[in-house]
Formats: sequence, structure tokens, C-alpha cells
Amino acid sequence: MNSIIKDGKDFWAGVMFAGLGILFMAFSTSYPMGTAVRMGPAYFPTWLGGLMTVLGLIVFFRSFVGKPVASWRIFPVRPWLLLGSAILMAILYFGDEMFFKGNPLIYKQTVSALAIVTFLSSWGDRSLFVVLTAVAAFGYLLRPAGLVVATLVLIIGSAYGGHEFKMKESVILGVCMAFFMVLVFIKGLGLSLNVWPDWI
Amino acid sequence: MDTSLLANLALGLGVALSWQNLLYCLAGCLLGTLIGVLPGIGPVTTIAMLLPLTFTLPPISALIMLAGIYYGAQYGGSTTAILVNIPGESSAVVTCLDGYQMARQGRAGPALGIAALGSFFAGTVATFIIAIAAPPLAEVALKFGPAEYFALMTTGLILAVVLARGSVIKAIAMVLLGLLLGLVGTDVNSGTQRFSFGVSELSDGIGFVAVAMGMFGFTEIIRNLEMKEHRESFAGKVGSLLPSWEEIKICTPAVLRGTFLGSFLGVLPGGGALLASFAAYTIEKKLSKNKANFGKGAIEGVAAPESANNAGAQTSFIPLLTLGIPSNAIMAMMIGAMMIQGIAPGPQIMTERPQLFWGMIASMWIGNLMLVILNLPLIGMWIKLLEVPYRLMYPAILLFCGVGVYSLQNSAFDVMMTAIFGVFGFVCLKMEAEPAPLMLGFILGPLMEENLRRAMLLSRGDPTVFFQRPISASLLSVAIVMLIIIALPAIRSKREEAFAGDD
Repeated sequence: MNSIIKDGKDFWAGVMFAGLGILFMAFSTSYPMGTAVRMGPAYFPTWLGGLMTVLGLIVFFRSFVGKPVASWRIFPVRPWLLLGSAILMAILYFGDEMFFKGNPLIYKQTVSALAIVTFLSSWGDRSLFVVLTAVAAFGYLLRPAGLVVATLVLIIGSAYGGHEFKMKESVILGVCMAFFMVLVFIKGLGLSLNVWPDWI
Repeated sequence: MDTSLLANLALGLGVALSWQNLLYCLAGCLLGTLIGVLPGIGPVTTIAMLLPLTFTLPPISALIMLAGIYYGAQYGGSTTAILVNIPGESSAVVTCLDGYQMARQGRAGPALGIAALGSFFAGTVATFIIAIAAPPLAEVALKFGPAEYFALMTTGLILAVVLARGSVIKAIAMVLLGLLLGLVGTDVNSGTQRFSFGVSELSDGIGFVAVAMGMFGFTEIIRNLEMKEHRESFAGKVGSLLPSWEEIKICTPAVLRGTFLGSFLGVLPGGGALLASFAAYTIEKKLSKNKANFGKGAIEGVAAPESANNAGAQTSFIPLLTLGIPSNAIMAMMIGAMMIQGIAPGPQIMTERPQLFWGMIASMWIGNLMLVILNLPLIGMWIKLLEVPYRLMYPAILLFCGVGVYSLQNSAFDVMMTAIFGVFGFVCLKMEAEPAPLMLGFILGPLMEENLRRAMLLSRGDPTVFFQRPISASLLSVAIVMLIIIALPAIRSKREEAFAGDD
């Protein structure tokens, strides 16, 4: 570990804090600042963002001094996927007029889903994004596909993200949990959720 | 004063003892223990998971149930600590030291018994302390102006950071990030949409359940998955739960010391309960006649931290109920729950809604009693639960979290936000940036901005107002002194030492 970065954790934490601080300050510029007496909506966040940037920079520079503690590779990041999700998000944010006006909503939804999945899968181990994608999918499936299908997707999907996945076992677990959920949350607590897909 | 205290407690007991509230208290305690006993799930996650169950209840029942969930989770945590040597949360780490050793020697029963009895005693004392200390404190707090409130929140946040573990700078940065995330949504003063990027779901702000569940619950699950399964299963016998007369005699002073230490430290912001259990263990070890026995199954080593832990957990409600300021992540969850119920936390709760205030205090004691009576016989069931393999458990936990978040507003967006905060929590974990300060900041963000605005408006834009008013000046100087002290190299190494055992 002879790199110039002595503490990878501090290095990335510094980058993150300073980066987010600058982002928050930048976004604040589009709101009225006001004065100290009558603070506008930008006043407080600009100060907070500034302070956070300063602290981030301190942490950042601190990561170059002292004894080596941690490598800069603290967790796997897939930069290409991250870039991809950033592009998709930019298309969603700026390209409303160009791409989605007049087209069915499903286009925008598909792009959103892609953006989310690529964002989730840019970080960490396989278990991180498989599990969290299963959770996000559950949320979006709940209304159109109903509780039973969504439960099966979440249970089997998240079990697949673990290290000892057994198909048969997780299907059984999924079926049991789906039964239990319908019984407790829909029959018992009276939540108004679809049990089966809309088209049935 | 005394008669009014009794009258207030009677009022509270009247509320808490209605069959409905008793039922919710019981349900909270049982569910809290059920989830809390699962290894690797701390009280914050437990509360985040079960929070949605309480939303449809009337406010008082919801808060009673949540408080029950909290004690239950804590109780469950110490059970896992003793039986399988896995602390559900950091304050149970010291319980592992001697508790697990006792279990290995076949004395799991007395260890669990003394933990429960000590906790009950501590809970009783702490409940009375809340009942006595809260009214005068709330009275003082009612006189607070916006400048005092702003100073109080600043000091509270800084103390919470200093008294917790980890890097102070990163923790303060996390507080700031939390404050900023708390500002997302519609600005109350001007109606401007801030940081919502045209996403309509963000106009009401980021849901605090999404933040809490993502950063605590999901992150914990991911971390457990990463570590692979290496769990110790409990094979021994529990034996009689009641400690012998001899053991009770040894433990009485330990329980007393733990209780008072815990009650005091619990009021402080930050890891009240955590600090309390560490300090109590260290003190017992110093005072004990058989020092050599510590770490090898000394029953005082279980009794003292468990009492301190519970007393601290209880008294950490004091700043919440009197000032409306959360002192740790769990209290931040409670505030979030109160806001969802439409209750503005703060000193006015006591005068405006005495039934809620005293009912909740009375239910704390009842909840503690229930835990002792119900959980000791149920210990066999909890042990069975520990045998469920994690690969079957975590999908089910995720499912409950998912349904819980979704049912808040029937919104898939909230579920997705929770997943994103799960990733963020994981990234923070790897950077050793603690999620708890972010949670505190997140809850306090809008409040702090509001008070800062009002204070500056009243002072006509003069920032020295915070140092001209005596209360605010002294609060802020405490914060500044703490920051200076923590920056001194000698203290810094001591602090690192104090939290070193906690990993």
C-alpha cells in the first residue's frame, strides 16, 4: 500500500461531502437568496452546503497525511454503469420535451427503471444490487401485478442475491410468505392492495 | 408538587391502562422482542420496520406501541447477546462479554433473569425520573425563543456527534447532509420547491421512513450478507431463570449504580444508552472484589450494563418530550412518528396534550413490567427463533420493510427511495461515516431553518443575538468548548480508546 492516498475511506468521504456540498450550493442558486433578516429559500442550504464542502475538503486533504490505513479501493464501483445511470437521469430531467412528450407513459417509466437499476448496480458486491433491485421491483410491481407476484419477486430475487441460494427453498418460502402477507395485511389489517394482477 | 405528580401519574395510568392501549403496549413489546431477538437487527431497524403498523392507530396508542417496540427490541437484543454472543446493537456489546460466558457455563438462565430484573428496576426508576424532571424542564423550554431553540439544536447536534463514536468531522458533515436532505421539498415560508427536480413525489420532502429503513435496515442486511454466515448456535441449557439469593446480593449494588449512571447519561445527546452501558461495566470492574472474574462470567458484569442501558434508553425520552429534540437515532424515529401523527414535538405537548404525555410515561413502566412477566417464560420461543437460518430470514425482513414503506402513501417511489438510501447507507458504512448523525440532522433540518429565520428576523439580521441572550450563549459555549476539547490530541486518543471495544 504505497499509494499517496493514506486513507481511502477519508478520501472518498471527502470527495462525497465536498461534491454534494457544491451540488447543493449550485442548485440553491436558482432560488432567491434573501437577506439575513428575511432569509430566502436559498439562504440556509447555501450556508450548509458551503460548510459541508469545507469539512469535505478537510477530510479529503487529511486522507493524504499520516500512516497508511486503508487502500482507495474501499468497495467495488462500476464507473461505466454509474455514468450510464447519470446519462439516463439527465435524459429524464432535461429531455422531457424531446423524448417523452406525446409518447405513452411507459417509455418514460422504462427509462426511469433502467436509470434506477443501473444506479443500484454501480455499487458494491453483487448482493447489494440484486437485493435492492428486488426491493425496488417489488414497489413498482405491487400495484400492477398484485401482492402475490410482487412478494414472489422480492423473496426469490433477494434470496438470489445471497450466497447460498437454493431455488426450491426460496420458492417455497415465497409461496408461504405470499399466503401470509395476503392473510395478515389484506384480510387482517385491511390494506387496500391488489392481490392478483389487474388483468385477471 | 407531589400531589400534582401523583395526579399526573394517575391520569397517565388511566390512559395507559385502557384495554386498548394495554393491548397495543403488549403487541409492541412482543413484536419488538420478536424482531429485536433476530441477530444483527438493532432497535432502529426494528422500529423502522414496525413503524408503518402504527400509522393507522390513534396518536397515543401509536406512541405507546412504538415505545413498547423500543423496549422489546432492546430486551431482545440482550437475549441474543447472552445466548449467541451477537450484540443486536452496540450498547449490548458489553453484555456479550460476561453474559455469553455465563451461558457457556450453563448459567444462561440467571444471566437472562438478572438482565430482565435489572432492566425492570432501572426502567421503574427512570420512569419516575422522567415524571419528576420533565415538567420543570418543559416549563423552562416554554420560555425559549427562536434564538434559544436554534442554539439548543446546534448544541444538541454537536454533543450528539462528540459523544458518539467515529470521526467527528465526518459526523458533522453527515449532520449537515442530513439537514440539507431534510430541506428537500416545499419551503414553508415561500412555497418554493427546493431540490425536488420536478419530481412530484419529492415536493412533500423525502420520507423519513425511507431514510431510516434504507440507511439502517437495508444497510444492515447487506452488511450481514457480505460477512457470510458464521453464526454460533445456542446448544446449552437455559436452566432456572431466577438468580440465586447469593447472586442477587452481588448484583443489587451493581444494578443501583448502573441505574443512576444510566439515567444521567441517557439524557445527554448522542449514544446515551451506549455510553451508559460501557461506563457502567467499567465502573463495576473497578469496584468489584473479584476483578479477575470479569470477562469470565461475572453476573455483575451483566447486571450493571443492562440496568444502565435500560435506564438510559428510558431517560433519553426526556429531551424528546420536553424540548422536542431527539438525542439519538431512535428518538429521531419517535419524532418522525409523532409528526406523522400530527403532533408537533416540544414543550407544549405536556400542557396541551397531558393525556398523551402522561399516558406515554405510564405506559413505559407498564411496558417494562410486561417484558419481565411475559418474556421470561417465552425465552424458549425466542431461542427457537435464533435457529432460523439467515438466508430464510432476510428476504422476509425485506418483504415487511417493503410493504411497510409502500403502505405509507401507496407509493412505489418511496420503496425505490428506500433502496437508494440502502445503497447510500452501504457507501457511508464503507467510508466509516455514521448514519445516526444524518438521521438527527434530517429530522431537525426544517425546524432549525425555521428558528434561524425567526431569530434573525427578530434581531434584524444581527447574528450576535445568539451570544447576547444568556441561555443561548451558554448553550453555544458548551458546544464550542466540547469541540475544542475533542480537538485536543490527548482527549482524542482517550475517546478513541473508550469506544475501541465497540466493534
